[in-house]
Amino acid sequence: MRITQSMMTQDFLYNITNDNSRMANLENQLSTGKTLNEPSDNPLAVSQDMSINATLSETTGYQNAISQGLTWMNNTSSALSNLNSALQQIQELTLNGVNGTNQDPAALNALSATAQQMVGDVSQIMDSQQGTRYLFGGTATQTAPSSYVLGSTPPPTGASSNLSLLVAAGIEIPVNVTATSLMLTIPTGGTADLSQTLTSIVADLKSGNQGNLSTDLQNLNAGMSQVTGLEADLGSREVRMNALNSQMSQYSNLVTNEKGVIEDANMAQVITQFNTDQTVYQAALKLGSQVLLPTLVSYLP
Amino acid sequence: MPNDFSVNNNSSASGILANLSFVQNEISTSYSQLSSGNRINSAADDPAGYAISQQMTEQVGGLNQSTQNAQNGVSLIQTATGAMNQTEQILQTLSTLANEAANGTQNSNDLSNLQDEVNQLLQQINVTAADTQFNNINLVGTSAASNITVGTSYASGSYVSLSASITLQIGANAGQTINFSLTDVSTAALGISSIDLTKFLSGSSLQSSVVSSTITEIQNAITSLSSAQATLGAVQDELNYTVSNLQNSSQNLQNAEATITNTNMAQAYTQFSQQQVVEQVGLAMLGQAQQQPAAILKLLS
Repeated sequence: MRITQSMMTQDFLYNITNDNSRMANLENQLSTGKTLNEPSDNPLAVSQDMSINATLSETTGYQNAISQGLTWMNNTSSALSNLNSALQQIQELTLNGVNGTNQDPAALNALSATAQQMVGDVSQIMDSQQGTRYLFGGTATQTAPSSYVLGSTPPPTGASSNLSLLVAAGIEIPVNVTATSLMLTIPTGGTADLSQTLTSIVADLKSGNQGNLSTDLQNLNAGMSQVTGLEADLGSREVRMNALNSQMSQYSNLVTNEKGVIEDANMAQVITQFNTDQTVYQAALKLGSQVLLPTLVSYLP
Repeated sequence: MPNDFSVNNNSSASGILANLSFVQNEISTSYSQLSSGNRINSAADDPAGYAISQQMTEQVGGLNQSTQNAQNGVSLIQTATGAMNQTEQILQTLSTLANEAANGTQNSNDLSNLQDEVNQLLQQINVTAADTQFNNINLVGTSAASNITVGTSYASGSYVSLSASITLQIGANAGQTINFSLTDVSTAALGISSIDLTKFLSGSSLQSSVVSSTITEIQNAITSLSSAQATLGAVQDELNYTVSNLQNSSQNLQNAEATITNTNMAQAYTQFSQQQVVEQVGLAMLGQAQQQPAAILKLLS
């Protein structure tokens, strides 16, 4: 068959363009580190990649919620252990006041004044805040809990509601303890809630009413058990939160790896291919300059 | 199967990073356990153990205060019996004086002198009764005792004797009490206010019926005083046992609480050293893993 100059030129151009476009693709992969740069690169993989990206950002959202929740719980837990030690001091004052050797008005006044200060401490603990939100306020985070658990105001709407965070698909965990459950709930084994008990302890210490103080002591002990119970309950939720936290970070790690498998370029392979293609391209160029340039016209006299 | 030659996602490094942050968490737990000496530092560390130990701590606080209460009770009783001992000595002296006066050799002048001494002694009994206080609590008579007129002109019934009982709170819980009554040892309560030795002589004849009734009055007073002392002594004995029992319980509870909350230092420190080694190896490995993607670029040169 006859090979014309124009055929060779056409073939050469065709091949060198192909080489070029392959190298452009490889260069693209090299500079981004990814195989998936456009949907057309691999439509199925791109759609998988997109759904993995969605899962990943969802997981990051849950992780944020968990770490927020843990902060809230840690603050609550430390406030509760302060509450516990304040109540223990009030218990000691009550035991002191109920003793027959201390029935002197001056001694009783001193005990009552100390108890009053400790109740002030309790009220301060009830008003603990994280940022501008009251830890013990339920969903009514803008009303100071001391105003309704140790004051006369009725509790606002939401004061006894759980503050729940969405920590995984469909799983909500309450992160708070409410002031109403601590102070306005009559404990098992008691006849009055902690708020009433504290108020009457201060009054009964002042008047030296041993009979009432004995009842107060019983109520206080029951109230302290209730506080400890609520604290332990919070602790269990914290344990669950921590477990979820490490689950989530493991999951996010796994998903990130999976994403890498789908969209990342195998650099060793890409570079090798690129080097090969480069050699081919250089050979083609060299060939072009030597073979295509000489024409019959060059030999015309 | 992760993509080993990817530069966008270093799966080995992120795996190491996850392990490293886990070890870091463990180390920070070890730090708090070692520095506080407590295995349980918040409710989240062990909710059940925390609740139990908290109840024990409350109980220990209550027991310690109860020990203090019982010891105060002992001091109160010692003060009361001290006053009673003094009164008893005076009663013995009175008995001697009465016997002396009953001797036929005394004339009316002698008896009048003896009566002066008796009046002084009776007055001293009343002063003791009025002034013996513990923390402003009258122990052996009301403050009106010093106003009792002694000797012949005493109008009986104008003095209201002390009627009080002391309740000691000797346990952390309501109702764990000891109750005892205080005895009035003023001359009126002992029935010796109207002793009059001058009545022993009528003219020059010894009135043997007056003599025997006076001596009986004094003997009765001594008997009732002794029985009051014996009662208080018994209570003091009981309180001493209570104190040692309370101290014992408190000690045992503290030990029990310690086994729950305290860190096993040897174990914790061993773990800590191990974690440190793992952390250092992890850091070195992370450095290696981070260089891996860059190594691929050598293929380009």
